[in-house]
Amino acid sequence: MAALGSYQSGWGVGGAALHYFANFPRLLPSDFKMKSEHNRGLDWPISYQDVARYYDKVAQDVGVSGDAKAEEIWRPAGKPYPMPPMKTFRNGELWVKACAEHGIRLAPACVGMNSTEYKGRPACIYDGWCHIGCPTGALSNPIVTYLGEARRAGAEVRARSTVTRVLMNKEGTKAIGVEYYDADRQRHTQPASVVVLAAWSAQNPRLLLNSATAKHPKGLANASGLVGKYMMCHFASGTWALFDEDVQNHLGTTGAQFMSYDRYPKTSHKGAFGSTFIVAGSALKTSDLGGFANARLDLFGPDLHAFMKRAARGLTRLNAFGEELPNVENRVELATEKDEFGMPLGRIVHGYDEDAAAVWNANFEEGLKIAKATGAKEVWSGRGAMPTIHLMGGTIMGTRASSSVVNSYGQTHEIANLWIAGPGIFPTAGASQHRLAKPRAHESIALCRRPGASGRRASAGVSLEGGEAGGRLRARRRHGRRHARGGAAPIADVGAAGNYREQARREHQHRCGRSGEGVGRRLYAALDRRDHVRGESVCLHAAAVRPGEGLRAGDGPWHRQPGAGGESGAAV
Amino acid sequence: MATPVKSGEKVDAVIAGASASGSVFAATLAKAGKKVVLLETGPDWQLSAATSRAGA
Ligand SMILES: Cc1cc2nc3c(=O)[nH]c(=O)nc-3n(C[C@H](O)[C@H](O)[C@H](O)COP(=O)(O)OP(=O)(O)OC[C@H]3O[C@@H](n4cnc5c(N)ncnc54)[C@H](O)[C@@H]3O)c2cc1C
Ligand SMILES: Cc1cc2nc3c(=O)[nH]c(=O)nc-3n(C[C@H](O)[C@H](O)[C@H](O)COP(=O)(O)OP(=O)(O)OC[C@H]3O[C@@H](n4cnc5c(N)ncnc54)[C@H](O)[C@@H]3O)c2cc1C
Ligand code: SF4
Repeated sequence: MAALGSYQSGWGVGGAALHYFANFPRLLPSDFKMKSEHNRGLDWPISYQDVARYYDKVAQDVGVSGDAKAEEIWRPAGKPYPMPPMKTFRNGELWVKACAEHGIRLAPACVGMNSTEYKGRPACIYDGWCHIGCPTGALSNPIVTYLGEARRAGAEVRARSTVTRVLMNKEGTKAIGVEYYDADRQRHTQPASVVVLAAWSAQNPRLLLNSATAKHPKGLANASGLVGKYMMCHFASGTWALFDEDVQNHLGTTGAQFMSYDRYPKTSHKGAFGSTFIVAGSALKTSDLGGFANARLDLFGPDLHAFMKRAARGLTRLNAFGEELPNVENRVELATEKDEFGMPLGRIVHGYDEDAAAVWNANFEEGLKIAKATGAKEVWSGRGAMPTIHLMGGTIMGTRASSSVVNSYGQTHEIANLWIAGPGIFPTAGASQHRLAKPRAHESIALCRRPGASGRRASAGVSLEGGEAGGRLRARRRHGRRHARGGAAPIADVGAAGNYREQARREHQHRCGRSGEGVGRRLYAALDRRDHVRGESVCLHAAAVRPGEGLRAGDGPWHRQPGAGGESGAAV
Repeated sequence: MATPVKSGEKVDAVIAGASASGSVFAATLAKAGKKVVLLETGPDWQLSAATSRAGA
């Protein structure tokens, strides 16, 4: 329903990784040093070298199949994966030569799936149901990996228990447990020496903000005012290729058979900034997330029927994931509306900037060129609303309490026994998916056993309008005004010129029918317990019409597009 | 498996969300002999539930 709903949190024991695609690519060294190398975004307080051994460890823990040597053309060398690469099928293989013709080398995708039996779990049967929860145990979801280990070691999992607050001691110096509600809506407290919030990038800030006390009036760990800030997504540019021949697209996994980091360097595309991670070859189902019935949203009735008959055998897709830069304006905050436990819903305010739109467009353009080189009968871009995949940020890590929420272990700067886990602590998003949340947790624990070991007191709050972030915002506003004078031009005129920013701007005007500030889209979503995100994708103009409201799908004069949030969309 | 901790009894670590990231903390702490409780708002999915809507 909502643009932010499609690739977001999970619900229930195991979380989102019960139905994730188990792609296990890594961030690259450049992701950790974006600010110092490019004077954009933020630096991490740690480097690739600090986490490399955890990537290797997690691969052994959960079972990753792949070819580490083949990947090492793009990243520092590490340990081999415990299993050889997965099988490949025609729907993936046919991209290899076409990509090579455009300077993109494809290596076997590294995936958290079993190419052979591993730790008593069976080998994959390539039926492609990973996205609804692998039923065989071949995919490394939490239930068959860490959560299983935890349970066997005596950890208790209490389902249907909704945490609403972190509880603090009177002095405001220490977390003493959490408040939660059970299935019968009875209120409980769970005292604990250490509190870990691992409820997803958007829910963790919601909990911190809702836990405000007299000593922490802005919410816990929020003296900097940065709790909920710097929310980031990935976006994808999917390119479809339709063949007359059978490309075996019922076979494979939902993830990928091949991957490439050849467009990962931040300045790979002229006039655009940010990494791109390319994958090829996934099993296609009929009408689910990324299914082929959604590959042509412009078709109905007999036309759709005819298309689906061909697509069921002959359709395949190349997908390019793009990186969004951290922007302090993209945020989660508390809405006025409350959930069934009286806890305010979270509201997400998010807009893509011109860099994101430019990378997105550049990847569509390159995708089409590659798709043509496959010799397919028809090729088209799966362009809908700009998707918001994998939410990150909101509780970013850093060295200082004035400019980040947690340290590099996930420990909050302000409260030594309060920890945040998950991709919410990333200061930059990269373009690959983010298992890094796991590796780092291992090291966190070392500190967790020694509460206070790296705890630091917060310094005074930071002004968000000042500094680098504020400067960028101001620059963006100026940029927007310049564009506003530019006048409208039909979208078809652009593109070939390769000026992706300009293309993004015109596209926005074209779709929205108005010129104005910025080209980004802005997403509003309300978070609640069950749906996690409710909302609608709106353009900046709609946001200006009704500022500051908690938005719901179906509310208001929002500018809608089909295919919001998915990789599918209307053909162009 | 250890006896479940009664609500109200103090544990070493409470984790909000039986998630990808929460499970790593849980496994590491539990294996180190710590008392761990994961609180999860959703249902307790089993693998067999992945092929039906049961438990939702
Ligand atoms: C369709 C899809 C495909 C993906 N594919 C990949 C991939 O191929 N590779 C990759 O690396 N990543 C992938 N991801 C991303 C990855 O799954 C997530 O980054 C990861 O699961 C996030 O983990 P988390 O621990 O932050 O939270 P989640 O896994 O989202 O879990 C949060 C949990 O907390 C619970 N919760 C929320 N609020 C409360 C509360 N108040 N009290 C108690 N419990 C609460 C939720 O019910 C949920 O179970 C994918 C995600 C999706 C949705
Ligand atoms: C791993 C997996 C997970 C899934 N998860 C979900 C899910 O979570 N949610 C969801 O909505 N859907 C899910 N589905 C899809 C759903 O299961 C199917 O859409 C549904 O079962 C199809 O039902 P059906 O009655 O059309 O046929 P089927 O259930 O496929 O039954 C057809 C039967 O007919 C038999 N048959 C075939 N030809 C003949 C013949 N000539 N003579 C006699 N018998 C014959 C077959 O042997 C078979 O037993 C999943 C599917 C799979 C494989
Ligand atoms: S293809 Fe099937 S067996 Fe293999 S990981 Fe996906 S769901 Fe599991």
